[in-house]
Amino acid sequence: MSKAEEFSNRWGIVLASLGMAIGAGNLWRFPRLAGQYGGAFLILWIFFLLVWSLPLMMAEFSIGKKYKLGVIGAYSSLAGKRMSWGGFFITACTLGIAFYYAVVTGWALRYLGLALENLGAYLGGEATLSDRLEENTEYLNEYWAGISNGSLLTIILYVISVIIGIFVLTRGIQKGLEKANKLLIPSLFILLIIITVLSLSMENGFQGLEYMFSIDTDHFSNATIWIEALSQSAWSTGAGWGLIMTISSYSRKKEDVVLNTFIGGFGNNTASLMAAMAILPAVFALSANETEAISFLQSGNQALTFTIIPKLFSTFSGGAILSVIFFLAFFMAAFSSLLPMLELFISNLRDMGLTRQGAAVRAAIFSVVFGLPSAYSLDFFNNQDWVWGIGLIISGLLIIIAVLKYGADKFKTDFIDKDSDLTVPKQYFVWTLTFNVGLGAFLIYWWMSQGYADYPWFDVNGNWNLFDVYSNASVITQWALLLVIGLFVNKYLYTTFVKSKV
Amino acid sequence: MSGSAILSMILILGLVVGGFVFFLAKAIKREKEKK
Repeated sequence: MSKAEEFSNRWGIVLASLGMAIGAGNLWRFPRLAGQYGGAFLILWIFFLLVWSLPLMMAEFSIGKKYKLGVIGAYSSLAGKRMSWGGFFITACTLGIAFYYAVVTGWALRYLGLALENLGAYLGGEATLSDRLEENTEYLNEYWAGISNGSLLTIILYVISVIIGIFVLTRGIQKGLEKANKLLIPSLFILLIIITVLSLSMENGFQGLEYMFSIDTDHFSNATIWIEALSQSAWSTGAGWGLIMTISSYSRKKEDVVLNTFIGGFGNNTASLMAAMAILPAVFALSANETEAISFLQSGNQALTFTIIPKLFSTFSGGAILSVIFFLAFFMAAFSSLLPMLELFISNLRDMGLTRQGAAVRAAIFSVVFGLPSAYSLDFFNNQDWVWGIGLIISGLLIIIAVLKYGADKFKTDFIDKDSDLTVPKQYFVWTLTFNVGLGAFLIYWWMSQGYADYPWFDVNGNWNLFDVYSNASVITQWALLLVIGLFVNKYLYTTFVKSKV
Repeated sequence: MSGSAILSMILILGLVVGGFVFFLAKAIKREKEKK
């Protein structure tokens, strides 16, 4: 059985792919890494777009297009009935991200509110953020601590984000997702251009670009930069998430695979470069000196976005407007990525026989319930970000394994080349996918061996260190739980999501 | 900005943004041909 809904034309699916890929990571992670590691990081990031992301995106796109089912059904159709658990793992992993990602969207709304309030105060001659920071230099740190832990308003805004997302999606693919992206993506690009122009017009603004584009060849021998470049490309393009598979399941029957994938991949990277060229000049221009600017970039995603950027923007006269534009762009980016995550959920539920409305209501309830702990506790949020962020590499590997099992060469002929306006060399697709098996496995090993927690496996008392935010024990336990559930219901998954559709 | 940073900027932007524009233009052309 195929889905009746589809995008109205090529641009509908291209915009949806861009909306999915351009998210919070483009604005809060990429500029940090580009500023810290410069041109060497950028070269490696482009290399991994070509080696890891694009082949995986092509595979995902063509699987969704061919089977026109949700991730569980589409993956199981390709990988076979013994591997339906793989589709379940990919789905659950991305939902694990969706549940806390809605919290990021809620934070974006909260800071957009703060920026608007500050703009109002600035225009009305009342006490602005700058005045508050003069009275209390820790104001923004305290504000962030307040909203990221046990805040009722954060929970309300998070629930609102889910409800708006679900409302858009109940309207269907053309009237909901396609229409929303037609508004969000062009607006986001325009906002990024405005911020870039304003940032570069600041005194010393170009110093940020100097840091961003200078190539330090010593960096190529630093393993951390290779890992950061690979993970940034994998996370940012959406390769291996199952999201491209979901979007392409609504493609027209004769939709192009290669060209659309390349527009999505290169478009996402263009947006990342624009975001870095918007943020880095402002950080360097408004910091007291270069050392302070670098320390800001090393402070982490949340600190840079929610405490440092508002503080820096409050130090000059046009900052109140710039802050509103920045957080509006941040909200749009986060929201445009939240939509396909929720659609992935809805799509799988619809394969179980539910109507779009029925599936959407259930997706909303599940998302609100399972995201609640992340909205309430920053530690829980960071744990989920860590567990499912690395889990995406497993998801990517599962997709690669399914393609290799089918035969990469045959897959390219049967799934990708048909209807594609552009073809890639056979060797490129086959070799990169094969190489990526080793690359993905090494990446997971590398993260596990780094010891991000003080006690990666067992705590000081010798107990399994399950409740540490960044422990390997927590990661492995949650992955294992999913795998066990997936294997246990494997037969049910195949019968429900594949067999009943034939 | 130093000369090497400017050169690197031109090459990186050229590859990424140029690639995006190239593939987008190709898609626009294909759509026009189909019409």
